[in-house]
Amino acid sequence: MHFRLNGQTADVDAEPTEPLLDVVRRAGCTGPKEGCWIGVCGACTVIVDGLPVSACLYLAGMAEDADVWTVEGLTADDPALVDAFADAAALQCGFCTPGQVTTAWWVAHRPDVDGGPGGARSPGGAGGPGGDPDVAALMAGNLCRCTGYQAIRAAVETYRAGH
Amino acid sequence: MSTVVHPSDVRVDAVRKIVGAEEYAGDVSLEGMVHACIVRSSERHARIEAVDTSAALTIDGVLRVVTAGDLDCALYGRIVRDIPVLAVDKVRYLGEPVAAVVATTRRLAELGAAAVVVEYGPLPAVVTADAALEPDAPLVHEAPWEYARAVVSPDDPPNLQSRAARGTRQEAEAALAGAAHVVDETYVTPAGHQGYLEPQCCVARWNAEAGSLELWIPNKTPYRLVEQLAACLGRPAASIELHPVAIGGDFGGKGSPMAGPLCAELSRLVGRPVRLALRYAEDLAATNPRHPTSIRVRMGCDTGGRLVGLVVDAQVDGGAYAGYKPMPEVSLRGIGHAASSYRVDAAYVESRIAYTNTVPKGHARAPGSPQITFAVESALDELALRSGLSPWEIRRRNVLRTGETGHEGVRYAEHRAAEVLERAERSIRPATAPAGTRHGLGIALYDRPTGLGYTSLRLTARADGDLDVGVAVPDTGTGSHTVVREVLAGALALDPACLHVRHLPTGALPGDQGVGGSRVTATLSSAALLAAERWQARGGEDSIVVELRGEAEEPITSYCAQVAQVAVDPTTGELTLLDLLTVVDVGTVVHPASHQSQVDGGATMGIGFALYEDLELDDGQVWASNLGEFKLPSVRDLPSLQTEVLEGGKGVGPANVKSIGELVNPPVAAAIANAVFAATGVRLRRVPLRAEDLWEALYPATAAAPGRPAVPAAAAAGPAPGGSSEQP
Amino acid sequence: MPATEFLAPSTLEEALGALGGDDTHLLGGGTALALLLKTGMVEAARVVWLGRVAELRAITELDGELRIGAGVTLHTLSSSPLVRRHCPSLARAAGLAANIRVRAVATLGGHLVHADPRQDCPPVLLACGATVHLASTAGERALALDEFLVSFLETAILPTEVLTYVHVPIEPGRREAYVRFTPGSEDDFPTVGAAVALRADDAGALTDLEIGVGAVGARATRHRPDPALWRGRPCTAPTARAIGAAVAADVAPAPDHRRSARYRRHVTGVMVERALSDAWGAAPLPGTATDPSPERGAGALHEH
Repeated sequence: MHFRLNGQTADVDAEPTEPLLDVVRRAGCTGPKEGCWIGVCGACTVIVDGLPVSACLYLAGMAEDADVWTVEGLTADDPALVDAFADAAALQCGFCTPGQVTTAWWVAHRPDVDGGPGGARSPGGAGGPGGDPDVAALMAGNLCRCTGYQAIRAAVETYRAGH
Repeated sequence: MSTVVHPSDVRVDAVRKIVGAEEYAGDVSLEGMVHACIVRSSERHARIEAVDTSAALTIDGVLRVVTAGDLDCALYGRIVRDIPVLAVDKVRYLGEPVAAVVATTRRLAELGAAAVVVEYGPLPAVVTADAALEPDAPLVHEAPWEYARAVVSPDDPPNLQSRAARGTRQEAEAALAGAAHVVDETYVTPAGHQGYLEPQCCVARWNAEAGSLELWIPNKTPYRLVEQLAACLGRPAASIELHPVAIGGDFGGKGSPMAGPLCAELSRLVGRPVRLALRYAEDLAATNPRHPTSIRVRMGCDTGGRLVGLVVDAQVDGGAYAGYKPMPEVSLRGIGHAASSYRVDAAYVESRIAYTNTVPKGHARAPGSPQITFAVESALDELALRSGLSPWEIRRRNVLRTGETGHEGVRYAEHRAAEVLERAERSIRPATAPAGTRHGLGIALYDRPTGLGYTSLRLTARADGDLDVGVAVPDTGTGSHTVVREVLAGALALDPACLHVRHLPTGALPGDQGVGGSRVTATLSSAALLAAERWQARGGEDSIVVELRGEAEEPITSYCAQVAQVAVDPTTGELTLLDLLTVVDVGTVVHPASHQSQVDGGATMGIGFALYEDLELDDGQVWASNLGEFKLPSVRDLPSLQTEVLEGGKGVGPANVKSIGELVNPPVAAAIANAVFAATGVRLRRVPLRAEDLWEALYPATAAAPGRPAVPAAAAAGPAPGGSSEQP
Repeated sequence: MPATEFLAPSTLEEALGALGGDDTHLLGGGTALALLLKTGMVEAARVVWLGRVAELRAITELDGELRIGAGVTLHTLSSSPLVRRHCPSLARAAGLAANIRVRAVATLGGHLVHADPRQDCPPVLLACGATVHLASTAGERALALDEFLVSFLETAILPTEVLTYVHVPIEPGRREAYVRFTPGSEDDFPTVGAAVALRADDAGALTDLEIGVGAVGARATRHRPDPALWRGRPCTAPTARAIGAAVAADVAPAPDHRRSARYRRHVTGVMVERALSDAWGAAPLPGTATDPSPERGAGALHEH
């Protein structure tokens, strides 16, 4: 298959029905990790044509001619992204980190927020719409077992504020 | 542009993890490497009648199908060696490895595994601890006392894995008989996976000519794993080397040999390097989750609210094998620490762990403590209610003071329980519950000793004047390698950026006890100070190796109080955690960012245990079979997490440290359950605390029509201790 | 193992021509099919991906209806100004589904054909009276969504058909709401999802009421409570409660080892009541012409 990977042309052998995750990892980008394998944890997050996707669920055939970015490419020329996570100590074991960093890039660069304002409801379900979705709403779906998310939120807020 | 403000404060592993360059076992790719997949039992308990490998072997790319008869190894285990690498003659749980397929790609190995046909002859199964310990229960193991390093004898009840007891039952019973107020309740906790995001994985390379074995495996006790593998494979320990790889989350789950022995055998059998990586569903169903418990607590106090008697009987489901427990007595030590924060005249604590036909259980962050702390700290609130005291007051009256010795018989250097409670009470920020919900506030207290152990370190001068620091212990993510750098930098008066910490292969250093037992920071900081001392006193050498065999001068424990505020929607039972305050008792904090991360992560793991996590182990089957079903807390589930650090404690060793990682998760569930009671008058004695259970308690099926009951039962309960109020 | 054939037609006609063979599967975004393929629950000889069929990726306003292409992703649906204006509860429901990575690829067509009863969009589409359009080489047909959904993971689509468009009537004055109940983690399927679409006359009395419920039974269901309960009345709290109770009595909770039928029935009533309250009381949801969000692609708020 043919696609662009981190800005470079990539021609690789791939089955069109295999997960894109396996393809990018074979191509040397092992930052994206296999975690849950069902699109829930976010460890395999990559950017395809500007949006984050679970590479474990994204069939390689769908990425033909697409513009694919992994954490390696996103951080290569973006020290602010690296610094935001490093300075906030927004990681522990590091396994979810490439996915968190990748989603953080999207949060800062793609603000078209699903559902518009009011995506989050009050606890009892009785509240109405209102309030801007915060980093937590945007980062939802990238699980971290180590940090309790506080430092990750701070890192993403810092990085987004710089954009 | 780069805006690094304090480069020397950045964790040693930060940048390589952020850019995706850190190497985990699943990233290791060796020349000629092939892939394996496990064929797992579809039965709880059954004889293996036949294994038909013929269809699998017709698949192009499948190299070999391996069953128990092909192996040349013994049973393995951390203490009790009762785990077969592949099931022999019978299977004891659903998901147990029966065979393995090796193929040129992982996909082909998986297809091969799916094509292996196993015929079973079903046997009666026991799937709960209670059933397993009945006199006539079917036997999970016919003669468990015959296993190497067994802790049971033929005189024990059938299916007993281990029994641990402390105190004298008669004395404690007599004290309860004389108590003014007594609580007698049973608390239940489920099986729960550690939730590390990196599935178990191993890469093994067997070198037949050299007779050596190399492994890349996320294991937090590498030197012990070498011994376990040597015993299992019948090889000299010196012929086995573990290469360092990052560990993608541990929380107790990465301390067992797990994929190691099988992967090693497969490599020997096919003569090539083999990678054996589990899918997450396999990990959830068939590795070593947290033990489910049923804990009966009987606790009594006198008319002044002073604790006079405590009897704890914990029934624990150990699953099909005992080999994933590393304690010499094969117990969950946390259970033995029941009510260790308090003065109790007479206490008796007994736990019985049973073999069952379920997934074998292992250690999970503070093993046994989340379970027992949920039970005891809930019971204490129940006792407070009976004796007319507030939850705060009953704790204040009973916490140990410095100089006192608790019912465990250990004389700790200090007890800062009262100070921690006082700080907690002063630090509460009242949270606002949404309209239509009820607010409640709950407190729980916990204490945990800091350990000290064995490790080794190597310092080597570099040509550029910097220092290489070789460590024997893996950093499971806690920041332990950063701790080494910080302590050394301080002792040697060097810029931390001049110290390069690296985890070395097992052959490179004398040894290490591994991660666990709340001892890593204490052990590493003590070792780093010793190394700094030797380095400064060295002669002409440009490299030194130090070994630290730590023995604490006096026992150290530290306290954690947590205050939860909840909102309960009485119409649906929905429970929202509004705020969680954590007060921790510390000595010297070596790396504040890593320390805070451990507090936040521990509190969040406690929230998961309290509210979400349940493998739904039912009838021997793990029903929550993927991370969509087994829910870990997500970023938007979290309330405001507040931390108060009580400085000035006396810690272990010259670095004066207290442990943190396992201090913070145990009390969360009781704090929330106590807050729910304060809000509603409903006492939930089973975690996870579920909306439906709360609603059922508010509106029992017999009392109300299915639509909407008219009168909330809790309305009659009145204000509960801890503070309760109905929001407008 | 014969390799799976992967086709990416660029027109509907080509796509239709590729269907009908054994083990041929249509692929929308793959979040469901990829799982089934990976776990071996589905073996495919041929996969036909609709992502290159441009006409199926558009949202248009047509003859008083919103015409949503089956290839529109949930992310596009939720951020579409047209959808936000004419069917705000659909934008909201689409934006609540799963996480951004799923919404970025999952398509409305795939969503509906997969027919998992816990999905967020079907209750809204049922309440708003959506129809689905199906095409095959033999021609086209339209079905009310209520007829299209059959049971758990089962719909009325034929192996030779492609779901092409979803039509949602545009009804000025329709007030809508969608409420989902997730008593555990927020990042989960709902235990109950309830959608309401209603209209009232100038005097403030209810004239139309449609309700959709998800996650309770084997499929998302449409409910039209007895007009005697509500027609000609304002949507007061007692009225909402009576409507909720009627819907609760009407649902058929499917067996589930997690939650009792009694509880889900009860919560259904509560969520319907809350959705009614939201729909009745709320100002129009966001999604007016002044909304800065683009139809899709690069954003305007934080342009890089």
